[in-house]
Amino acid sequence: MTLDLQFRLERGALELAVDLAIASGETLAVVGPNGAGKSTLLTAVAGLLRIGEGRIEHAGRLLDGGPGAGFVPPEERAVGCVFQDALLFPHLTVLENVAFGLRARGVERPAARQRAAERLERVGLAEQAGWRPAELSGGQAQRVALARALATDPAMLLLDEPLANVDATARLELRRELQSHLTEFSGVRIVVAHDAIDALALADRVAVLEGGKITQVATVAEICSQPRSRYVADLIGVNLLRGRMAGDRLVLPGGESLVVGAGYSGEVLATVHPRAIALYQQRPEGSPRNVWRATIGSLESAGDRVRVQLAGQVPLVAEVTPAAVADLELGVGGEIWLALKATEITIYPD
Amino acid sequence: MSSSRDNALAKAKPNVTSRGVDRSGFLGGALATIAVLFFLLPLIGLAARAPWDEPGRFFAAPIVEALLLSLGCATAAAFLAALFGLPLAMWLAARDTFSRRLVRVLVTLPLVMPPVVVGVALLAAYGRNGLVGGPAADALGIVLPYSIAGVVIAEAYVAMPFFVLAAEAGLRGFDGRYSDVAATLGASRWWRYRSVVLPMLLPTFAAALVVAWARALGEFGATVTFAGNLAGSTRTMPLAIFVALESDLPAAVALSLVLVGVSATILFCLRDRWLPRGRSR
Repeated sequence: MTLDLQFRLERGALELAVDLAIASGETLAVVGPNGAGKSTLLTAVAGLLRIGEGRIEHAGRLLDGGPGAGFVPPEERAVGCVFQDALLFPHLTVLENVAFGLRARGVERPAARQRAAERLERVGLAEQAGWRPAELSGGQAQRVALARALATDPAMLLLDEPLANVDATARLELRRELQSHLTEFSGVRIVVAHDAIDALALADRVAVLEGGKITQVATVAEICSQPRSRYVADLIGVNLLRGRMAGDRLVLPGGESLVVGAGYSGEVLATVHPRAIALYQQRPEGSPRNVWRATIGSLESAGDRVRVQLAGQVPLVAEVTPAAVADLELGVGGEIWLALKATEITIYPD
Repeated sequence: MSSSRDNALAKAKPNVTSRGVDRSGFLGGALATIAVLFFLLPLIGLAARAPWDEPGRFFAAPIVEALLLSLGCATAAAFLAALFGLPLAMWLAARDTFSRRLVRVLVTLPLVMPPVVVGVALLAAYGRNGLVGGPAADALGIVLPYSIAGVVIAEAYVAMPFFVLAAEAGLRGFDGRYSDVAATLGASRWWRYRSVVLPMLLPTFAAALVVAWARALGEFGATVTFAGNLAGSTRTMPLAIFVALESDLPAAVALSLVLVGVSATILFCLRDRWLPRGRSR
């Protein structure tokens, strides 16, 4: 059973065009910058927003065929949604929240409460059954929202940045829990994520959405090794260059070139890990084939490393230790030599 | 559905604390004290002038009669205003169109109309010789003026705007995403309304009802013009007080004190349940 999405819709300034198929038992993460249309995509799948043209189909059943064609309203779609604000009904207890979907579907109160209590137990909140949502922490509220979404045994689980409003300490644990709930759930799973770690930890495949268009759909491993856009490259923290092969050299749009080795041709993408770039005060003599002078654009601390923005011939980011920053007397606006071995550049077709 | 950025903005909204406004200083404090005295002194005056030495006057038959009539009519008027006002408020809150704006102005009109004018207008429409009242009396034998029904109609007319505007404000402030979540959980339109929207807005509607009720209870001008001043049938507390004022001042004070006491007690009892209690909630 798969969820087939092939549709376009317009909403304000956003023009969303989607062509995706997600299989049952698979988790697709949707990543992208703010305003790219990630939430809108989920909203359309849930049936809270009608598509402009195209179709949304689940297991061969047409859910939305565009204007004039069939439309299944959200309450008949068998979706479970968790939004970034848990949106628990404030006037109901935690247990009543989880039982809500069952009651709405006509399950008698005692049975609904029984099943809701089991669901709560599975997210570890059996003791909070009688609480009001306002008494829960952010992480607890998201667990209840998840239990509420799963209680109706939906065919699709849609999570919209479920970890966004959870504080850092609770996040780690909630992510792990979410992971196990996702694997237990046998239907279609879509997770919108703003954070790279969330996406990579939870997903089997990743769809990159930028400006309403899908720029890359690939497995997590592929996304990490062969990013196709600057956004993804930044997300996973590598340098991305786009250019054309000429012999053993990669020629960039500006005319500069790098030696990358033979064996490639045509339009290619190249990634360079920031740690693979070496910095020197004097022009280095040695094996690296790519040596040039660059200006330091900015320095920013990233954990135990310092990210050095290099302007010049080829804009790149290098990562060095704080000790190296001191030794090399690196400062913004200063000049530095950098060396890059051809073997540290990963080339793949564009 | 709002985008994630909207949500972030909503989250970033600063919490207004009472400290933010409580910087009035000495001058502000003095002015506020004057305001409190301004409200309090008339009440103290009432209490001071009351015929305490004749407690029987508080429970005199005309007082009890007028009080019960007032409470009954105000309650009926408030519920009438809610019954028709709620669907109207929902219609007004649903979308912002020219026709709806026009209707909103119409609904607001009774707020700025002198109550006597409301009474005259009611007579012109529903009076014995009125636009609708004439044919209705001839065909169905329904006569509103100078009847208890007339009191309720007059009070409902002036009270309804209070209900509609308060309810509409509540409806507009409702976060539609709760209804969306309910839909994804399988709730039909009716179920979403019944178990999410209505219960979440109940405090707002109840507060609107209380405000409408309070307005109806104090109604004078429209009532006296449209329903008259018949002891035992249309003489509500405010009318009884006005009548007593001309002949028997202690009686007027006693009536006033009873009206203030009863309405204050009712408001106080409802306060905990329904009325907004400032920021602490």
